[in-house]
Amino acid sequence: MKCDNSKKCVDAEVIGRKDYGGGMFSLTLRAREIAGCAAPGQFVTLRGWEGAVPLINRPFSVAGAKGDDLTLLIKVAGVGTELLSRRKRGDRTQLIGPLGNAFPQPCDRPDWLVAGGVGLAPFAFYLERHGAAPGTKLFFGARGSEDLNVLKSIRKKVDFEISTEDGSAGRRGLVTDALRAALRKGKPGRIMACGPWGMMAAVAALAAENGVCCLVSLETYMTCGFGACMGCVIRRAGSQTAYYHVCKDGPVFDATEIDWSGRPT
Amino acid sequence: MSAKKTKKTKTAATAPIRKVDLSVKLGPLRLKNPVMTASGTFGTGEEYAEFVDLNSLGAVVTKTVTLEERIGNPPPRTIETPAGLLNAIGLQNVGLRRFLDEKMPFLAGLKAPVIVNIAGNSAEEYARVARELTKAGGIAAIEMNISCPNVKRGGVSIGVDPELAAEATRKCRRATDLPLIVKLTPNVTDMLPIARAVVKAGADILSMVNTFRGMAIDIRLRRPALGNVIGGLSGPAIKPLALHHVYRISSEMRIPIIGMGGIRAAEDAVEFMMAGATAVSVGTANFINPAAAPRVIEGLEGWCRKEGVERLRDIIGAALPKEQK
Repeated sequence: MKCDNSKKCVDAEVIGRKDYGGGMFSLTLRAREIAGCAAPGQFVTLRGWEGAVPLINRPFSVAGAKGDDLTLLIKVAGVGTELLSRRKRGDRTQLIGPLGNAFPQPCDRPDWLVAGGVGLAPFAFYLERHGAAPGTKLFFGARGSEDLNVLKSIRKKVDFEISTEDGSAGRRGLVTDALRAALRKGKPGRIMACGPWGMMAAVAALAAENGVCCLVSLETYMTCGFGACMGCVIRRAGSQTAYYHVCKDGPVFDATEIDWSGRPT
Repeated sequence: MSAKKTKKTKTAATAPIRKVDLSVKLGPLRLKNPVMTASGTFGTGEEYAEFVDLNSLGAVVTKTVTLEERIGNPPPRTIETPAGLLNAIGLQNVGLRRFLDEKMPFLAGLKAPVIVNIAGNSAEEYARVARELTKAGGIAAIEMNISCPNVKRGGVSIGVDPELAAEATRKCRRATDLPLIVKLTPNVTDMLPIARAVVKAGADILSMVNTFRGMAIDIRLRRPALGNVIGGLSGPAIKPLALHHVYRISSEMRIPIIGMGGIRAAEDAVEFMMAGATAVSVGTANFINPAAAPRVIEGLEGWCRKEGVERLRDIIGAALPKEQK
C-alpha cells in the first residue's frame, strides 16, 4: 500500500487477538490505510465499544504493522481497555492514525531498548521493522514471571535481559538496575525507553550520567491525539511555563527535552 | 428509504423530496447548512484537514485567540467523566499576531465561512482583537468568548455580569462591522439578563452554551484531578442542560442562536433546532471522530428525507410554546 502520509479515521475489523496474561493482550486490526503508513514509535487511537461511555478514544503505540494489518499491545488499566479486552475476531472498531512522530532509524551503533511491561509495544514494532543489529539489547522489566509472556510478541531474534520486581524470573530488581549494571561495562549508540513515567525518568538520568543519547516514548491523558484539543501537555526541561504536546510534538522525545521533576498525570 | 416511511410522513410528504435545503439564515450570515464547529474543539481547522472536507461545513469556528500568547494551564488538562469531558486548557493560543501570520493564510483559503473566537482581559482588549481581525479580512464573523471557565482574568468574570458583558459587547460592536456572536456561559443562576444585555449592546447572534463548571478528584492522589482544579464539562452529559438553556432563551426573546452542548448525531442537532437554535455546533464529538461534524450534516439530510422536510430551517423553534413559533 502506497502511503500518502496523512492521518486517517477508519473502521477496522479485529482479525486476531492473543492473550499474554497479566492483563496484557494484543489485537490485530485490518486497517490498510493506517498499517501501510505507520512507523515504529507512532501511535493510534482506538474505540471498540458502542455509546458514549467511555467517551474518549484510547491511545496505543503501534506494536506491529504488516501488509494491511496493525497490531496493538494493550494492558487492562481501566474501563476502556477492559472493554477492548473483550473484543474478538470479526468485531468492528474505530481506529485513527498513524499519529505522532517515530523513533529514528537505527544508526551505525547498536541501540539498547528499555521496556517496562506493555511499554514493549513500540519496540516490538521497531524490531519487526528494522531487525536487531549486532549489539542491540532489550532490557525488559516486569512485576513478575506472569508478565513475561508478552515477550512472545517479539518474533525477531534479539538479545534480551529480564528483570522482575519479585525476582520470579531473570534478574531481581528494576529494569533500571540492569541498565545501570550494563552501562558500567559498555555503552550503546542510543538508549530508547518506553514504560512507566518513573522508569523513563530513571533511564533518562542514567543516560545523561553516561553521556548516552536517550529517546523516550511518552504517555499522558490524551483526548484527541491529533493536535486539536491541546490537552496532552508535558513540561519542557528548564521551564515551568512551557509545554510540549505529546500527540504532535511526540510521543517520542529526546529525554533531555523533558522536565522529569513532576509526573504529568 | 421511502419503503420505510411511516404513515405520518406519507401524509406529510406527497412526493419524494428531490433536494433537501439545509441552508439557514443566521442573523446576517447565510450558511449552506447549520452545522458549525464549537470553538476550542477544532483548532484552526487545519488539524482536521486530513480527515474531512472543511468546505462541507456550515462554518468553521476557531479556537479562542487572545491579544498576547497564552501558554495555558498546567496538566492534567483533560479528564474523562461519564459521557463527558472536563477540560481546563486555559485558552492556550499563539496570540493575535502569530494567529494572523501563521493561521490566517490557511483559514483565508477556505470556502466555508470562518468565524474567529476571541477573548481578552478587558473590554478594550476584546475590541482591539476584533478590530485587528476585521482589518486583516477573510473572516465571516467574530465570536466573543465571554464564558471560558478556565482563566482567571476576563473570561468568565465578564460573562457572569450583565453590565460587564454588555460593555465588552458594546466596545466590540464599535470595533467591527462583522456579524458579532457572543458565546454565553451557563454558569449563572439565570442566563436571560445576560443574553438581553449583550443583545441590547449589539450582539447579532448568541452561542449557547459554553461548558459547565465542574471538577473531578483523583482519589489515589487525594487531590483535584485537573491541574487547574476546576474545568468545563462538555459532551453528551450536558446535552439536556444545554438544550434547556436554548429553549428558555428562545422562548423569551427573538435572537438567532447557535446551539451546542453534547451534539454527536443529526438527531441531537434537530433537537437544538426545534428548541429554537438556528444553527448548531459540534464540539467534543470532533475529538472522538474527526468527521463528526460532516456526519451530522449527512445525517440531517437523511433525516429531512425520511421525515419529508424540504427545508430544514422550517423546524427551527418547532418545539417552542406556540406564541413563539
